Amino acid sequence: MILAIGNIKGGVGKTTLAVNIAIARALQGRDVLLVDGDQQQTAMTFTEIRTEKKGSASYTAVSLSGAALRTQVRQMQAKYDDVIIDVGGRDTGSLRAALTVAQTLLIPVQPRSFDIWAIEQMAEVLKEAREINDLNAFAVINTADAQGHDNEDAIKVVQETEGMTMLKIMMGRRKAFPNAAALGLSVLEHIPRDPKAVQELTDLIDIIYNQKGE
Amino acid sequence: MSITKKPKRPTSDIEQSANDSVRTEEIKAEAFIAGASEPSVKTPTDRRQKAERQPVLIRFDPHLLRKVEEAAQRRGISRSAWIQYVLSVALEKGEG
Repeated sequence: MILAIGNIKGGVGKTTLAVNIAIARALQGRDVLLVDGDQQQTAMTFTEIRTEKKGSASYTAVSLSGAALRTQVRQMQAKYDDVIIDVGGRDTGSLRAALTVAQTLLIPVQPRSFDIWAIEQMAEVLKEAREINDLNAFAVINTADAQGHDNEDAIKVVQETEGMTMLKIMMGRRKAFPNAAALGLSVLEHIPRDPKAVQELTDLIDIIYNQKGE
Repeated sequence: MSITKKPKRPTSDIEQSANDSVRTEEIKAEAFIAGASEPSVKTPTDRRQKAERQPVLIRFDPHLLRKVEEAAQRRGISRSAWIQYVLSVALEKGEG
Protein backbone atom coordinates (compact mmCIF):
# COMPACT_ATOMS: atom_id res chain seq x y z
CA MET A 1 0.00 0.00 0.00
CA ILE A 2 1.10 3.55 -0.69
CA LEU A 3 0.52 5.65 2.44
CA ALA A 4 1.02 9.41 2.38
CA ILE A 5 1.43 11.19 5.68
CA GLY A 6 0.77 14.83 5.05
CA ASN A 7 -0.90 18.06 6.00
CA ILE A 8 -0.82 21.57 4.56
CA LYS A 9 -0.01 22.75 8.09
CA GLY A 10 3.59 22.24 9.14
CA GLY A 11 4.94 21.05 12.49
CA VAL A 12 2.19 18.51 13.13
CA GLY A 13 4.49 15.49 13.54
CA LYS A 14 4.32 14.04 10.01
CA THR A 15 7.95 12.93 9.87
CA THR A 16 7.88 11.45 13.37
CA LEU A 17 4.88 9.32 12.43
CA ALA A 18 6.31 8.47 8.99
CA VAL A 19 9.63 7.12 10.30
CA ASN A 20 7.96 5.27 13.18
CA ILE A 21 5.46 3.61 10.84
CA ALA A 22 8.23 2.77 8.33
CA ILE A 23 10.35 1.10 11.03
CA ALA A 24 7.37 -0.72 12.53
CA ARG A 25 6.44 -2.18 9.14
CA ALA A 26 10.08 -3.12 8.46
CA LEU A 27 10.24 -4.87 11.85
CA GLN A 28 7.20 -6.89 10.75
CA GLY A 29 9.30 -8.17 7.85
CA ARG A 30 7.88 -5.87 5.19
CA ASP A 31 10.06 -4.40 2.46
CA VAL A 32 9.55 -0.66 2.99
CA LEU A 33 10.28 2.39 0.83
CA LEU A 34 10.23 5.70 2.72
CA VAL A 35 9.85 8.70 0.41
CA ASP A 36 10.90 12.05 1.82
CA GLY A 37 8.89 14.66 -0.07
CA ASP A 38 9.64 17.49 2.33
CA GLN A 39 12.25 20.09 1.36
CA GLN A 40 13.62 20.05 4.92
CA GLN A 41 14.53 16.39 4.34
CA THR A 42 14.19 15.49 8.02
CA ALA A 43 13.28 11.88 7.21
CA MET A 44 16.51 11.57 5.17
CA THR A 45 18.56 13.06 8.03
CA PHE A 46 16.88 10.66 10.46
CA THR A 47 17.70 7.74 8.14
CA GLU A 48 21.36 8.82 7.95
CA ILE A 49 21.59 8.91 11.76
CA ARG A 50 19.84 5.55 12.00
CA THR A 51 22.18 3.97 9.46
CA GLU A 52 25.23 5.30 11.33
CA LYS A 53 23.97 3.93 14.66
CA LYS A 54 22.62 0.57 13.50
CA GLY A 55 24.63 -0.19 10.38
CA SER A 56 21.52 -0.27 8.20
CA ALA A 57 18.20 1.55 8.24
CA SER A 58 16.12 -1.62 7.60
CA TYR A 59 14.16 0.28 4.96
CA THR A 60 15.03 2.17 1.77
CA ALA A 61 14.78 5.96 1.84
CA VAL A 62 14.68 8.31 -1.15
CA SER A 63 14.13 12.04 -1.49
CA LEU A 64 11.70 13.09 -4.24
CA SER A 65 9.83 16.27 -5.05
CA GLY A 66 7.20 17.67 -7.40
CA ALA A 67 5.94 15.73 -10.39
CA ALA A 68 8.95 13.39 -10.15
CA LEU A 69 7.52 12.07 -6.87
CA ARG A 70 4.48 10.80 -8.77
CA THR A 71 6.42 9.23 -11.64
CA GLN A 72 9.16 7.69 -9.48
CA VAL A 73 6.79 6.26 -6.86
CA ARG A 74 4.68 4.66 -9.57
CA GLN A 75 7.80 3.09 -11.05
CA MET A 76 9.14 1.84 -7.71
CA GLN A 77 5.98 0.75 -5.90
CA ALA A 78 5.94 -2.79 -7.31
CA LYS A 79 9.36 -3.49 -5.78
CA TYR A 80 8.18 -2.81 -2.21
CA ASP A 81 5.50 -4.15 0.12
CA ASP A 82 4.86 -0.71 1.61
CA VAL A 83 5.55 2.80 0.37
CA ILE A 84 5.34 5.57 2.96
CA ILE A 85 5.50 9.18 1.76
CA ASP A 86 6.27 12.05 4.13
CA VAL A 87 5.00 15.27 2.53
CA GLY A 88 3.59 18.67 3.20
CA GLY A 89 3.97 21.49 5.62
CA ARG A 90 2.62 23.68 2.82
CA ASP A 91 0.57 23.26 -0.37
CA THR A 92 3.47 22.01 -2.49
CA GLY A 93 3.72 20.07 -5.73
CA SER A 94 5.18 17.21 -3.71
CA LEU A 95 2.11 17.05 -1.45
CA ARG A 96 -0.18 17.12 -4.48
CA ALA A 97 1.92 14.53 -6.32
CA ALA A 98 1.67 12.22 -3.29
CA LEU A 99 -2.11 12.62 -3.27
CA THR A 100 -2.27 11.44 -6.89
CA VAL A 101 -0.54 8.12 -6.14
CA ALA A 102 -1.39 7.24 -2.51
CA GLN A 103 -4.15 4.81 -1.60
CA THR A 104 -4.40 6.28 1.88
CA LEU A 105 -3.63 9.70 3.35
CA LEU A 106 -2.98 10.07 7.07
CA ILE A 107 -3.42 13.66 8.26
CA PRO A 108 -1.87 14.35 11.67
CA VAL A 109 -3.65 17.22 13.41
CA GLN A 110 -2.55 18.93 16.58
CA PRO A 111 -5.32 20.07 18.93
CA ARG A 112 -4.50 23.75 18.28
CA SER A 113 -6.46 26.52 16.57
CA PHE A 114 -3.91 27.05 13.76
CA ASP A 115 -4.10 23.36 12.88
CA ILE A 116 -7.87 23.38 12.89
CA TRP A 117 -8.01 26.46 10.65
CA ALA A 118 -5.79 24.74 8.08
CA ILE A 119 -7.91 21.58 7.92
CA GLU A 120 -10.45 23.16 5.56
CA GLN A 121 -7.72 24.03 3.07
CA MET A 122 -6.41 20.46 3.33
CA ALA A 123 -9.94 19.18 2.61
CA GLU A 124 -10.16 21.40 -0.49
CA VAL A 125 -6.90 20.04 -1.93
CA LEU A 126 -7.99 16.49 -1.05
CA LYS A 127 -11.31 17.00 -2.82
CA GLU A 128 -9.48 18.16 -5.94
CA ALA A 129 -7.08 15.19 -5.72
CA ARG A 130 -10.02 12.76 -5.65
CA GLU A 131 -10.96 13.85 -9.16
CA ILE A 132 -7.74 12.06 -10.16
CA ASN A 133 -7.20 9.45 -7.44
CA ASP A 134 -9.90 8.06 -5.14
CA LEU A 135 -7.85 7.78 -1.95
CA ASN A 136 -8.94 7.18 1.65
CA ALA A 137 -8.14 9.90 4.17
CA PHE A 138 -7.81 9.51 7.93
CA ALA A 139 -7.17 12.36 10.36
CA VAL A 140 -5.59 11.62 13.71
CA ILE A 141 -5.03 13.89 16.69
CA ASN A 142 -1.28 13.99 17.22
CA THR A 143 0.52 15.20 20.36
CA ALA A 144 -2.81 15.10 22.18
CA ASP A 145 -3.05 16.94 25.49
CA ALA A 146 -3.09 14.85 28.66
CA GLN A 147 -5.98 16.90 30.00
CA GLY A 148 -8.43 19.67 29.06
CA HIS A 149 -11.04 19.93 26.31
CA ASP A 150 -8.86 20.87 23.33
CA ASN A 151 -8.59 17.28 22.00
CA GLU A 152 -12.38 16.83 21.94
CA ASP A 153 -12.93 20.31 20.45
CA ALA A 154 -10.45 19.57 17.66
CA ILE A 155 -12.09 16.19 16.98
CA LYS A 156 -15.50 17.85 16.63
CA VAL A 157 -14.20 20.34 14.05
CA VAL A 158 -12.41 17.68 11.99
CA GLN A 159 -15.49 15.42 12.14
CA GLU A 160 -17.47 18.23 10.51
CA THR A 161 -14.90 18.48 7.70
CA GLU A 162 -15.97 16.59 4.60
CA GLY A 163 -13.84 13.92 2.96
CA MET A 164 -11.82 12.58 5.88
CA THR A 165 -12.45 10.06 8.65
CA MET A 166 -11.50 11.20 12.13
CA LEU A 167 -9.84 8.34 13.98
CA LYS A 168 -11.07 7.67 17.49
CA ILE A 169 -7.58 6.89 18.73
CA MET A 170 -5.17 9.72 19.54
CA MET A 171 -1.40 9.95 19.63
CA GLY A 172 -0.38 11.48 22.94
CA ARG A 173 2.31 14.11 23.49
CA ARG A 174 4.97 11.64 24.60
CA LYS A 175 8.65 12.40 25.08
CA ALA A 176 9.51 8.89 23.91
CA PHE A 177 8.98 9.94 20.27
CA PRO A 178 11.57 12.78 20.14
CA ASN A 179 13.92 10.86 22.47
CA ALA A 180 13.88 7.82 20.18
CA ALA A 181 14.15 9.98 17.03
CA ALA A 182 17.28 11.69 18.35
CA LEU A 183 18.93 8.25 18.43
CA GLY A 184 17.66 7.19 15.02
CA LEU A 185 15.15 4.81 16.59
CA SER A 186 11.40 4.23 16.66
CA VAL A 187 9.53 4.06 19.97
CA LEU A 188 9.31 0.31 19.39
CA GLU A 189 13.10 0.05 19.75
CA HIS A 190 13.78 2.74 22.32
CA ILE A 191 14.80 1.87 25.86
CA PRO A 192 13.38 2.69 28.36
CA ARG A 193 10.24 1.49 26.64
CA ASP A 194 7.17 3.72 26.80
CA PRO A 195 4.27 1.20 26.72
CA LYS A 196 1.67 3.88 25.94
CA ALA A 197 3.64 5.25 22.98
CA VAL A 198 4.16 1.70 21.68
CA GLN A 199 0.47 0.86 22.07
CA GLU A 200 -0.67 4.04 20.32
CA LEU A 201 1.67 3.46 17.38
CA THR A 202 0.65 -0.21 17.12
CA ASP A 203 -3.05 0.70 17.17
CA LEU A 204 -2.56 3.43 14.56
CA ILE A 205 -0.75 1.06 12.19
CA ASP A 206 -3.41 -1.61 12.70
CA ILE A 207 -6.19 0.83 11.83
CA ILE A 208 -4.42 2.26 8.77
CA TYR A 209 -3.33 -1.01 7.23
CA ASN A 210 -6.52 -2.89 8.06
CA GLN A 211 -8.63 0.16 7.08
CA LYS A 212 -10.82 -0.12 10.15
CA GLY A 213 -11.34 3.65 10.20
CA GLU A 214 -12.18 3.85 13.88
CA MET B 1 18.33 -17.02 -44.79
CA SER B 2 16.99 -13.70 -43.65
CA ILE B 3 14.75 -12.99 -40.73
CA THR B 4 11.65 -10.87 -41.11
CA LYS B 5 10.23 -9.13 -38.09
CA LYS B 6 6.64 -9.90 -37.23
CA PRO B 7 4.57 -6.96 -38.53
CA LYS B 8 3.08 -4.72 -35.90
CA ARG B 9 -0.69 -4.80 -35.68
CA PRO B 10 -2.39 -1.43 -35.99
CA THR B 11 -3.63 -0.17 -32.62
CA SER B 12 -7.26 -1.10 -32.12
CA ASP B 13 -9.90 1.52 -31.26
CA ILE B 14 -10.20 0.02 -27.76
CA GLU B 15 -6.44 0.20 -27.17
CA GLN B 16 -6.34 3.74 -28.57
CA SER B 17 -9.20 4.76 -26.30
CA ALA B 18 -7.41 3.25 -23.27
CA ASN B 19 -4.23 5.11 -24.21
CA ASP B 20 -6.16 8.38 -24.55
CA SER B 21 -7.76 7.83 -21.16
CA VAL B 22 -4.36 7.22 -19.52
CA ARG B 23 -2.97 10.37 -21.17
CA THR B 24 -5.96 12.39 -19.99
CA GLU B 25 -5.39 11.17 -16.43
CA GLU B 26 -1.73 12.19 -16.70
CA ILE B 27 -2.62 15.69 -17.91
CA LYS B 28 -5.13 16.09 -15.07
CA ALA B 29 -2.52 14.93 -12.53
CA GLU B 30 0.12 17.28 -13.96
CA ALA B 31 -2.30 20.23 -13.83
CA PHE B 32 -3.27 19.35 -10.24
CA ILE B 33 0.39 19.14 -9.16
CA ALA B 34 1.22 22.38 -10.98
CA GLY B 35 -1.63 24.07 -9.10
CA ALA B 36 0.20 23.94 -5.76
CA SER B 37 0.44 27.35 -4.11
CA GLU B 38 4.16 26.78 -3.48
CA PRO B 39 6.30 25.33 -6.26
CA SER B 40 8.57 22.42 -5.46
CA VAL B 41 12.29 22.43 -6.11
CA LYS B 42 12.80 21.44 -9.74
CA THR B 43 14.43 18.08 -10.31
CA PRO B 44 16.17 17.01 -13.55
CA THR B 45 13.12 14.81 -14.30
CA ASP B 46 10.77 17.79 -13.89
CA ARG B 47 12.88 19.86 -16.29
CA ARG B 48 12.95 17.07 -18.87
CA GLN B 49 9.19 16.59 -18.65
CA LYS B 50 8.64 20.33 -19.05
CA ALA B 51 10.90 20.43 -22.09
CA GLU B 52 8.74 17.79 -23.77
CA ARG B 53 5.69 20.06 -23.64
CA GLN B 54 4.84 22.09 -26.72
CA PRO B 55 4.02 25.79 -26.43
CA VAL B 56 0.83 26.75 -28.28
CA LEU B 57 -0.29 30.26 -29.26
CA ILE B 58 -4.05 30.68 -28.89
CA ARG B 59 -5.81 34.02 -29.49
CA PHE B 60 -8.58 34.68 -26.97
CA ASP B 61 -11.41 37.17 -26.92
CA PRO B 62 -10.46 39.53 -24.02
CA HIS B 63 -13.79 38.93 -22.26
CA LEU B 64 -13.33 35.14 -22.37
CA LEU B 65 -9.71 35.42 -21.30
CA ARG B 66 -10.71 37.49 -18.28
CA LYS B 67 -13.22 34.80 -17.29
CA VAL B 68 -10.55 32.11 -17.72
CA GLU B 69 -8.16 34.06 -15.50
CA GLU B 70 -10.83 34.50 -12.83
CA ALA B 71 -11.69 30.79 -12.90
CA ALA B 72 -8.01 29.84 -12.60
CA GLN B 73 -7.60 32.26 -9.70
CA ARG B 74 -10.58 30.73 -7.88
CA ARG B 75 -8.97 27.29 -8.17
CA GLY B 76 -5.63 28.73 -7.14
CA ILE B 77 -3.84 27.44 -10.22
CA SER B 78 -2.14 29.07 -13.20
CA ARG B 79 -4.07 30.04 -16.35
CA SER B 80 -2.18 27.43 -18.34
CA ALA B 81 -2.83 24.70 -15.77
CA TRP B 82 -6.54 25.61 -15.68
CA ILE B 83 -6.90 25.47 -19.47
CA GLN B 84 -5.14 22.08 -19.59
CA TYR B 85 -7.29 20.81 -16.74
CA VAL B 86 -10.59 21.90 -18.35
CA LEU B 87 -9.57 20.51 -21.73
CA SER B 88 -8.61 17.16 -20.23
CA VAL B 89 -11.96 16.92 -18.40
CA ALA B 90 -13.88 17.80 -21.60
CA LEU B 91 -11.96 15.23 -23.62
CA GLU B 92 -12.55 12.59 -20.98
CA LYS B 93 -16.30 13.28 -21.15
CA GLY B 94 -16.30 12.50 -24.86
CA GLU B 95 -15.55 15.83 -26.56
CA GLY B 96 -13.51 15.28 -29.71
